[in-house]
Amino acid sequence: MEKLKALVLRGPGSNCDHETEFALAKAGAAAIRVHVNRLLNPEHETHRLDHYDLLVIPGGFTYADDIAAGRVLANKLRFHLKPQLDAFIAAKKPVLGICNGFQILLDLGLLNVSKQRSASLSFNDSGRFECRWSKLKVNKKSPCQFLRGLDNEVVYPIAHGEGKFVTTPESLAALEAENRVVFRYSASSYPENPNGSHGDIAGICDSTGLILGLMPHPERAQSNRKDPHMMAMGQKIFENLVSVAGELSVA
Amino acid sequence: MTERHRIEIHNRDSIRDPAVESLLRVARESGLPGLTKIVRHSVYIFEGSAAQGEPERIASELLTDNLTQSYVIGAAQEVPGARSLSVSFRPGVTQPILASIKAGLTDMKLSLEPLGTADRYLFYGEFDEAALLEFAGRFVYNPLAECLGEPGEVALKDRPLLDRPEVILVGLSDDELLAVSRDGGLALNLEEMKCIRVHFESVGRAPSLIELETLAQTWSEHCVHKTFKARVTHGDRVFENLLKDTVVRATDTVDADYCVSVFTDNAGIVKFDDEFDLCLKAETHNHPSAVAPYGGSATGLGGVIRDILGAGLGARPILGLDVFCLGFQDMSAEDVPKGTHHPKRIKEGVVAGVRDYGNRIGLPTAVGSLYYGDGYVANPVVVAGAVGVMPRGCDQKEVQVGDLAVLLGGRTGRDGIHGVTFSSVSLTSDSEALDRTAVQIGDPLVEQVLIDPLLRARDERLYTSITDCGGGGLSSALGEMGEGTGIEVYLDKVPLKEAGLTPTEIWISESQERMVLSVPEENWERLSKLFSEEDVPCTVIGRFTGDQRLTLKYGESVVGDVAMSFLHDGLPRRSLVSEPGSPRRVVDSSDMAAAEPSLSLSEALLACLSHPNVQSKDETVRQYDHEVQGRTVQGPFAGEFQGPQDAAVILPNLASDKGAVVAVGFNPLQSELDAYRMAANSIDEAVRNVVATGGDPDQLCLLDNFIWGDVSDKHELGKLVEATMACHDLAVEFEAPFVSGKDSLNNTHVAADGHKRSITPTLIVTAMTLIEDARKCVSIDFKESESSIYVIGRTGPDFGGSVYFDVTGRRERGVVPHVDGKSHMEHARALHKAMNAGLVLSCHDCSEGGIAVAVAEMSFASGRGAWINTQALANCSAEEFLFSESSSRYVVEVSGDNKSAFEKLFEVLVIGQIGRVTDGTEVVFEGDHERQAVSIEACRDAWLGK
Repeated sequence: MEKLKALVLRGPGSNCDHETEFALAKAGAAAIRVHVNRLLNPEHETHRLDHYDLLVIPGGFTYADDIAAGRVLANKLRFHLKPQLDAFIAAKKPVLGICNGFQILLDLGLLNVSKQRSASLSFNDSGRFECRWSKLKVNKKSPCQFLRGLDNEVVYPIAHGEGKFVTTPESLAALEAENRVVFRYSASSYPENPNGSHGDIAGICDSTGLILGLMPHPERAQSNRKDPHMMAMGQKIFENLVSVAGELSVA
Repeated sequence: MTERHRIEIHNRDSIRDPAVESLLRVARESGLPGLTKIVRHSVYIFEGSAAQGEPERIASELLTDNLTQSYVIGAAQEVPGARSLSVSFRPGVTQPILASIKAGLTDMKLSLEPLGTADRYLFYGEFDEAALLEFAGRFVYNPLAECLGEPGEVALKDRPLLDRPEVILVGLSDDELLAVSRDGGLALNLEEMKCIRVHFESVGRAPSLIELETLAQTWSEHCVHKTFKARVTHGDRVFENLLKDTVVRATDTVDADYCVSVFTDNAGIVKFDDEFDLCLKAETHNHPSAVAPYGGSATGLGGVIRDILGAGLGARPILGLDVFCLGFQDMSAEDVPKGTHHPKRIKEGVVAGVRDYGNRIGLPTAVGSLYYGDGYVANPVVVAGAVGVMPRGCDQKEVQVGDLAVLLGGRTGRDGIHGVTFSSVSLTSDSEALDRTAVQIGDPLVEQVLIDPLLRARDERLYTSITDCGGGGLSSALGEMGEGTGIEVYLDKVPLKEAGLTPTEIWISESQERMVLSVPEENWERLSKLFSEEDVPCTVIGRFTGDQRLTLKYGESVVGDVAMSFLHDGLPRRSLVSEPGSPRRVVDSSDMAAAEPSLSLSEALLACLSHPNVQSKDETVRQYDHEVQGRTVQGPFAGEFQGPQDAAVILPNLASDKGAVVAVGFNPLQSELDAYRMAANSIDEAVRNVVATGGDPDQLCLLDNFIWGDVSDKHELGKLVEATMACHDLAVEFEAPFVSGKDSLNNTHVAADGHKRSITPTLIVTAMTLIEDARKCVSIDFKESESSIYVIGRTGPDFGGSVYFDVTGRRERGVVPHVDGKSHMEHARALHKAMNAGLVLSCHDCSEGGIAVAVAEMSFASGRGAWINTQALANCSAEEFLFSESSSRYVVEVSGDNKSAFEKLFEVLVIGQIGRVTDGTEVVFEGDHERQAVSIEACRDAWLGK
């Protein structure tokens, strides 16, 4: 059977694209890192979004996080690729945004609960970039389709300076009512909640469960060679992305 | 007049701005105690005629996060009760963010042009205006690149383009020659100036300024290591070439088959496996960091990353390391010499610099150290290192006649002029103000974006050679690349950050993020497509000629012309005399008796754990991303409760379980007592760290970073010579080749009263080795109750430079431990065998604070208790047993079932079982007459500084 095609969309400053590509390839996909400039000026079918079965926007500091984290890349996607992106989503193809990618999904409004902007990622309360392995509670009731086989609690590395999930009480209530909070930090106190996120939120999905954004880095769990179970818990996200994309492409 | 549009954005009230909160803390500590609040707004200025509603669209759709921020369009409004200061880039200086904003506007099909941005700060409370402005100049903006005011408010001052004055040397007296060197910031001595005069007399004309600068850059201590290559007479020994006769000779003697390229390239290159090589390099950036801590450390890391990109045909950077040696953080402000930053400010700056550069470029910083000492107040140590990976067969490079010289990456500006010559002289009370231009400004994005296309171009073999633009800028990079062929450089083709640079400034600027390639003409089209597709600037700025000359052109005119032979071989060899150190101290019975005030064993343990040089560096280390790239099998912390791990383990190739193990070692407290043994112990510690974590003792390679004071002083030089001798001897004993290194000399500071002080002589050693299966690497945290605890290696009364003597008021006393490298290697090999056989549950190197601290750390990292028999070792008092810092020792945990197998491996070697792991909550020391217990929690709290 032909491999499913996974697009790792990178831009200037993306810096988690290699390990994300590696995790997808290990999960069985034909993963390709593609620079946003090539999507904007396609010379080849691999430069078109509809060539792919799933999309991952990896971590990094795209365009130096000028103006705000992920803003310039999000703006590029909105004004140049919105129709392609809408078609991609309408075709029920999975989308994952990690860290900077999560910031971009929020900027694009793909994870909103209403027409208004529902959430942002702001500076950590500590005022500092912070790197640590964080315990996350997994909400198995969420519609997110990439949680199969995950324990109720997983440990992923976080590494960010702007990861504080900020939202309004109304949006928070709506996200919770729809079970769209997928990952929560294990407690409200520091350092369990490393950045002061409202509701201890580390990741949310859209109502279809096919778009997921999160601050922690499941693709980095593969470094955890001493603990194969923890490594598998990170890899599961990518295996699920690929198998969900596969089920859809068959259907 | 063009229309201007101004958009000002501020956070909504409920949103915190933590960066400004920490700025407020700094302000209150820096002469503005009455400041109550700081608020920061972002200002964007656009030019052009706008369609209806265009500024509103830009504000709401591009610039503002409508959930957390609000915007105002129009002129700046007074804010009642607040003093407002805006900070923007100096007119004429390229502001990187404008390209991003322009891209945003283009994407939105809007026509306004971004003119500039500013940060508008509002200061509330009671304060003195002059103090505020001084504070702003130090902490809020960088006067080298930025100014007060908003874009468009400050007029661009034209700088006259300097002509090319010839510098007449003929007929000058010695004093006048030296004045030419000093006033020009050339850092050339009399002999070198005379040599230049003689050369140009033979050419029949005076040198032009740019030629003199070229020689000063190329001949700088930074670039050519005059001291290390000198002939040195040291007592009855003569070294024809200090470096070659010590460090390099050891590498030749060891003759390790995994060395691929040593001492010749930008980094050392060693074999990893049949597919890949690894390269490694560490650099100091002390002088710039003293003056501008943030920019200094950021560009230090940026520079060493380029060393990796420019090693062989280029490698991918996969690990970063950093070492800082700074003054004690609690130093009172009055004791800080004039013109020097407070150690606390230096720490904040250098940590933030490495953090921002490393994290943004995507380099895991998983190895490092932070050390405090009195000798680093005016001269901090900032070491940045990196490891890279490349496919085998990329280690050779050779420029071909006819190749194009291609400049890649950043634009060239006035930053970093005279960096290398600046780094070769003393800092003074004026350095901070005068030498700012010598400091470079970093932009990690510019370096990050060139990595991917560069490595693709490498894999397509589109270029024949590569090097980075570091110290000396183009002058040093192109001068070096063209050494074998000659080169013609077109200075007017170099893309600039700001208009009006003179040819000399272009030639010697140390603007960052630039690499130089030699490209066969037929590959140019393909190469330039690869880079331009990803918006990475690349420009042809010269051609390698074959005439063995360095020819500098600006437009049609030749502005400089020097023979390569003179540039590279004309420098007179130095001949130096050094003074051997005083006789080695012997054990003095008064050393032990002099303890005052006397501490109980448990008090001493807590004092050692809370010593600034033992205490947790958690808050600093967690600011670095140590997990990016997904390679970090073992990072800086270990165990459920995150104790300090000895070394990092990374996977150079994600598809394989084979790992590289990297750590550093240094012990400056010993260097005033015994420079030879200090160096020996630095190597010993680096080796211990990698072996303790599971690294193979038979695949070691080392880097040296010598950081010394005034080497024109024969005593200081004597210490340097002895340290290099130790490097030779221990490298041979460890069979561990040095593969690269760097010296930073003349780290001195001249105070306003003329008092000159030298830095504490410091050798920082980086060790790297391999681990066949990274899944088997060993961490420090205890794993199993009732397992046995052993110490490997001999314990003796070795307290010279120890933390225990420091906390008990005996810093100047004691004997620095002798290192027996051969014996250490036997133990290390047995330990490695035990690890491979799965016999070792946990292992920690035994260093600062001795066995007591090692056991306590293993305990609180895991949350398991320990029982230690303080009389387990013969002829060893409890004090000596617990706190001695004898070299070459490891503390090891072995499960009960494996004891005999483990002990068998050490049959003829020195090990002792000293206790066991418990399921209790205490670390217990028990002897015949006393029993002392410290709770794990108290140990952890002392270590965390709680």
